[in-house]
Amino acid sequence: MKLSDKILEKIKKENVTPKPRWYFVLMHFLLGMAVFISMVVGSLAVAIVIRNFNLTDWELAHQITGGRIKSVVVVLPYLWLAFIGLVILIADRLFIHTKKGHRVKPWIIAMGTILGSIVLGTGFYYSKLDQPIENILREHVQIYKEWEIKKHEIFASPDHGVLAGKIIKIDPKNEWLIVDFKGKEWFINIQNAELKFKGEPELYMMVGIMGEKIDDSHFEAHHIRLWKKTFLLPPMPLNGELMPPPPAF
Amino acid sequence: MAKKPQTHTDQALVQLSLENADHFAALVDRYEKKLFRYIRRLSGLDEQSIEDILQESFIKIYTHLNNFDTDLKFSTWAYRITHNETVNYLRKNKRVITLPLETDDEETGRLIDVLKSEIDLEEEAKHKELVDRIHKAIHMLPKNYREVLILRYIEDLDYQEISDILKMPMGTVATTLNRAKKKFKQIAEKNHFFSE
Repeated sequence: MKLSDKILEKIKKENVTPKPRWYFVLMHFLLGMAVFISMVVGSLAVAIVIRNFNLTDWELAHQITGGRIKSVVVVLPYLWLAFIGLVILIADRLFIHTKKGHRVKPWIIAMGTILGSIVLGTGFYYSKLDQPIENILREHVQIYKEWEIKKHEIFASPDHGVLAGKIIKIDPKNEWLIVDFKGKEWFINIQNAELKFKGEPELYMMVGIMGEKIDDSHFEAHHIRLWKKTFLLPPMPLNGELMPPPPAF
Repeated sequence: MAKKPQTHTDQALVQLSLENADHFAALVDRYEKKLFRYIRRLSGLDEQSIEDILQESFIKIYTHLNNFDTDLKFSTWAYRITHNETVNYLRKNKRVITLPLETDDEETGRLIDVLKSEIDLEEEAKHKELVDRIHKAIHMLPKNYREVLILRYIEDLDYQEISDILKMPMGTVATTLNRAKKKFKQIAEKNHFFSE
């Protein structure tokens, strides 16, 4: 029996029919959408990385680490960079499976997805599309919250002359009480400090301070600047009372 | 008077098959031998297994007729499906490749011609024996090298077709092919396939 006869017999006997055209159109559309969504997600991550970089107080980071490159290494948002890498890889793999995707050289696809993510991510950054996502992560994803706290804890480094945290008391005698990112309270002498921000200091303001550790609970401030990064410090007991939630910056 | 199915182009037969399955027989008849040989070269399986793969490949071609990209040659598309079916079969069955018993003098000859300049062949070498050795050397190659070598020099396909079958860029096809040729030469020399 000829193979063609066998095949026709099977087709007729098992009622095999060609899959409809719309099925393939849908599959190609879904694949295209998956590539697009990967690019968008990657770009949002890029926007978050740009925001992290932009809001980092590099002078404080430099003071803690003792070098520009070291400060970049310490502050780099590795989690996001790894995520971007993964998403770009997924977009790459998916693109290859599109109709003509395999004809494009791998490095062109890689460069295209990287450049596309950077361009789109910059757009997202300026339109602040990434902020709601990061806020949701900060508020609802425990692991992310912990990772953020760890990143901020770097800036509670009095031995290196850096303290960052929230003002919880302002004393008229040139002394503030702040709670740093590790949750420790510090009396800050601001008598000889230069305030590097406009306006008056207020309660619950987040600040970054460069200065000198006096003892385990006292710190002398030389420069004080506003802490630009959003950081949702958990409410902490203060003199037996629960602090109100911090204002968003 | 209606044309005989055998005289239709592949694309016309695809359209006709979508309307009436009987026309699909002409496509099967047209590509059966070619694809059978390709599966045999690629897998080295026994005839029954090759027929099973071939039948599954044609059924898949039939069910996917609406996905046929007219920018490709039908043969390229058919090769791609058959290639994937063969690879899947080998993966599922974890079969050890056996050397094909049959050889095809005429087509393997093309590979000999191409490689002649690189390998010191004795003119008086027995052709049949040489063909056997070439098959042996091919089947000692890693899968990706074997694929491109067979497609280029035995199936006589161009780089674009190989790129579309294996779904890899043409540059990668060229690089893999060069490496495959070098590896083939190494294997051939190491095993004294062409030095007797």
